[in-house]
Amino acid sequence: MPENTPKNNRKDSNIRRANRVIQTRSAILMVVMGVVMFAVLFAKLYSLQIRRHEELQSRAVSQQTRSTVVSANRGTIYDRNGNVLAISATAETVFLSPLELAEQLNDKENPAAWTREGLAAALSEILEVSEESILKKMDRTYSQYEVLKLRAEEDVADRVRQYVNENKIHGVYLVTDAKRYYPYGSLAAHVIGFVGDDNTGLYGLEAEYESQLEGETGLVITAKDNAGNDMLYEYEQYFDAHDGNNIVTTLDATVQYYLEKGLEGLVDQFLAENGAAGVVLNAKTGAVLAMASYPNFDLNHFSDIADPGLQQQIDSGEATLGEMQLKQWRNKCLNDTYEPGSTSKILTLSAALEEGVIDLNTTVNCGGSISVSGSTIYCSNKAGHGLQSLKESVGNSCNPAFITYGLRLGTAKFYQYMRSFGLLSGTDIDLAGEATGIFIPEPSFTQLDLACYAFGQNFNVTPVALIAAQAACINGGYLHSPYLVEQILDDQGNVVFQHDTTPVRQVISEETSAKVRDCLEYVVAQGTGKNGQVAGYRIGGKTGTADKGNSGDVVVSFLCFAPADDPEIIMLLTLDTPSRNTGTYVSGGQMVAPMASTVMGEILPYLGMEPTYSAEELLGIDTTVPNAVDMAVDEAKAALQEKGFTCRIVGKGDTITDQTPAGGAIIPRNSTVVLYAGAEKPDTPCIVPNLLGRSPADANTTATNAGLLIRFTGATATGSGSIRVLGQSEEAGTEVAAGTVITVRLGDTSVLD
Amino acid sequence: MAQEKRKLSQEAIERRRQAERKNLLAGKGAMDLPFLLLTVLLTAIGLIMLFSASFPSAYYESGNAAYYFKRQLIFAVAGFVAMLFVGKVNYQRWRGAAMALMAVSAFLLILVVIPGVGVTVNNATRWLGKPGVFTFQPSEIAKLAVIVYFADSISKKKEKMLTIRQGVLPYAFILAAIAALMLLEPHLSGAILIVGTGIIMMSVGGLPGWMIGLGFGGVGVVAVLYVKLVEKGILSYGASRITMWKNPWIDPINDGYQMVQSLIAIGSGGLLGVGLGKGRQKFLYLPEEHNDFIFAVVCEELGLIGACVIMLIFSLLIIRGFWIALHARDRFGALLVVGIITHLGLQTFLNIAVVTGLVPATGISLPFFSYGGTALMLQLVEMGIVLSVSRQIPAPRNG
Repeated sequence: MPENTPKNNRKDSNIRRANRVIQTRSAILMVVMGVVMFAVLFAKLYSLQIRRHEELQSRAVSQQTRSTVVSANRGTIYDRNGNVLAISATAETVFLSPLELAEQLNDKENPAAWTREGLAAALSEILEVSEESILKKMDRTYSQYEVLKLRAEEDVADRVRQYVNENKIHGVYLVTDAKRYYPYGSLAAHVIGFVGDDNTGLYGLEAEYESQLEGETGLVITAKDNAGNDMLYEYEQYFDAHDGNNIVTTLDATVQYYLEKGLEGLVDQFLAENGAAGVVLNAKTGAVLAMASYPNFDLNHFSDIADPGLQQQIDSGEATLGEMQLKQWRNKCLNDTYEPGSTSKILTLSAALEEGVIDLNTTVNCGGSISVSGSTIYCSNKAGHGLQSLKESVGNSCNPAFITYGLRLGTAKFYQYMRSFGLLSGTDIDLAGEATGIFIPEPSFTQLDLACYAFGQNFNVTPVALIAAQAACINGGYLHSPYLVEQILDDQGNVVFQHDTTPVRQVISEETSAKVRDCLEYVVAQGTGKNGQVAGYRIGGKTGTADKGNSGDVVVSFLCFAPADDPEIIMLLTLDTPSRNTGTYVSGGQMVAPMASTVMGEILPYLGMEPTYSAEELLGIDTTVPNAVDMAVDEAKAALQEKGFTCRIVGKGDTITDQTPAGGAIIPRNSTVVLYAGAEKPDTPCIVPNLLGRSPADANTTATNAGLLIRFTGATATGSGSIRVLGQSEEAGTEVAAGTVITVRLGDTSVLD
Repeated sequence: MAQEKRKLSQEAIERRRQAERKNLLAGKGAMDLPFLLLTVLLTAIGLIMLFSASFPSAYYESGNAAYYFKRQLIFAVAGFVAMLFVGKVNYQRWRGAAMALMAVSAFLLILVVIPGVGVTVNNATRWLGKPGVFTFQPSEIAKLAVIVYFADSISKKKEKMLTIRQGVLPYAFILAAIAALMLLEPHLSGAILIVGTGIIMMSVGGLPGWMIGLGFGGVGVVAVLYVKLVEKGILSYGASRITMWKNPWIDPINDGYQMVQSLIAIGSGGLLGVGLGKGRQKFLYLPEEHNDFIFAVVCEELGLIGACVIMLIFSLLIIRGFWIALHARDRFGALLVVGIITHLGLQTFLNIAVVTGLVPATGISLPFFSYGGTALMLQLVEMGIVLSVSRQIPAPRNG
């Protein structure tokens, strides 16, 4: 029993007070520690895990994952027949780590089994890189990455790999890379273009369609720990690489080849200083079948100067490599403009006919010159053409006549037609770098300007803009933008783009266009374009010879199309600054038209256009010689005559023992086949006579007398006394077997533009 | 007869009361079941999370993914046994051990700072023993010693706690001495915890209210002043710690690295987490992922929901702990529990606050979760003391 004393009471109250203090303060602590503190922590966690979740998560993902790039294959470029013009293939870049190599060479404990010089020599041999340059790179021992060869072929890479493995070398590495191949080398080089070291298009279609061709690189995302190793459990995400789209162009490799062969021949023959350009279009759609510029280059080595003339300028110090590279990369069809000269008379003719200021019955007198606004402009024939019909004026390419037609149109109309033909704005072709023409602005376009423009002088256009306008004149009046890409296919082969062939506008009527075709067919049949004739085909065309300012240099050109009544193909060839010393009169009709004839003669049958020969032409068409050996003489004669050949029998035997040419040979139908009946076939070779400058009949006789056969190409129209042999396939003086067919190109040397 | 019978039964009741009393004094009442269950639950969850957080490091370091887990499990089992044992022991016996504990702690704390004796890890000499075999922190013993000694001493002082000479100076001296020794190691975070726990025990034990207000106010003013001075560039000590606390992203590679990685781990967990065991930050990104920053792994893998559940368990354990203190049979028991639970609460709060960037970084481990066998065992022993106190709570009187 506790004593009830004041002292005890005080003690009790002290104890109670102490207990109460502990109780109260413990209770407060309970709330603070058990509730308040956790509420604070919750608020912080909420802000981190909910409000900043996305931000922090993306940081987490970016540091925890590794993405490996899966490169996409660049799309392939095809011609219209599926021939590959540009394709990507795997290649490997060889590089070395000088640091690692030096470490091994300096390792005294495990001496390397190879030497510095030995490695350099071996790599130099495999990679075709100079030994000094390799040794120099090996000396940069601070570096771990020195490229020895970019995009080595696979077999070269394999040899490097083998060498490195055999000799246990650490520090020579290969990384897979893509390399662009151009199977046709220089073919259509300016159009296809090329890619740079980083595999992106730099030029041509490669650059224009970069976004389509490049594809989409893929990713593999793997979770990694902070040391960069894959995490213990799998976490992988794939984003597939999408290969680039494939491009089907309108180009036809064969047509392109014929065109380039022709241009090269032109440049070589006439020593053209500034090269040549040529475009072949589908006349009805504007599809570019071929486009070539000369000088050209090899796409697989686009930095090397391919043309000896350009290389010589570098060697002589006249020009730098860079300048000459730019020159060989120029697409003269597109990047450069020129004064078109008489080929643009087609446009004047079309506009004047459409506006009704002239018609097929119009006659015009040419006195050799015409006076416009006080200036006298001369005709190319200073004696004058006299009174001509419309067709004749076109056939003569008469300047005063066309100035007359232009003046009848008036400046406003003329200017409007230039705009309608798309000359002022350019063609919108799907290739980068199209230049726009140079024209006097409409407000300051005078009568005198009009007079010059009417026959194609004093303004500049690109060949491609001109041919697009000319195509409109002859295809029924429809202006099409020339285009190079017909289709774009994705990597699965689905068509993702198809060219729309809707014309930009109709510039002239179908009727006017028919009249223009008529006039232009006359040009080739009877006029300045005679040398552009192709046996078996109706060709329309127009020659052109234009002064380059007042330099005295000219650009000669020829525009032609076939068939003349329903054009499928239109071609423009230009030759810039031909030499005046080749013995050929400097004009489009003399220089370019014959080559146009050759090229068209190859293109048209290739494109499946059947020739229709006139009776006269029929005599000259190629026929296979039947084998008459062992036949009775009469029998043989009959067999040959049935094919259209003439026979000459040598010897007195009953059966044929030999023949010239042998059975199976293809020779012109009007040739003579020599049959030997017991007589010995002479095996002395024949000497090719000089046929140049002879008339066709003379040439034929000379060749036959020499024991040779002859095939004529080029101008075929008879009735003109001025047709002469312009070229022969075998040079005079060479020895050939008897019965060899000599191909002879005919042309009219009298025609003037 | 009836009177005799009544007398008999009264004797019987008296005997029974005396027996009960004896039993209670011997510590034979029932342990507090909620507290025991919450402790076991936290230990179990802690072990699971430790396994999850430590297996990448364990795998990379030793090739055995369960290396840390196994060691921790052994200590957890031993700790559990120790907890039950301590729970059976009458907590009054700790009174007698108070002085001895203080003496041993002082000796060990001096021993550890003698050059060449202690074990040094990361420029801090906090451990005794043989590395890799058995090490322990003398500061853990000191913590227990302070709690036991303060509970014993304060419970005896009653109103004397109101005087500065009796209520403040002796304790301040002890705390200052221990803190000084620990700062020599250095072990700032441990010192903060012990000093904080000591001051709170003094406060609960009866310091005058004005003194408490002044104390906490003073600490607050000093803290704010320190941060301001560092920001102004006048103070340079701990400057980088303060800068990184305010914005770790300005140097995510070096000084801010640990904080940034912790925030990334927590933030990327979101509401639901990436899934138990599926965390990625523990793959060599987050340093101390199975020690001080294990809670970041918890947040990443279990999300806000998982983290809250775990914090709720901690909260319930703390509340139940204080409930036991409030119902303790005597002031010594109450103060003992207040000390232990306060220490637990402070440590938990500071750990999570550091991991989430709420306070500047110091090395404080998370009770029941962080790797460390002796610490876990000692933690469980302390829980045993609380359980021992809970056994002597008088049964509520029925009317």
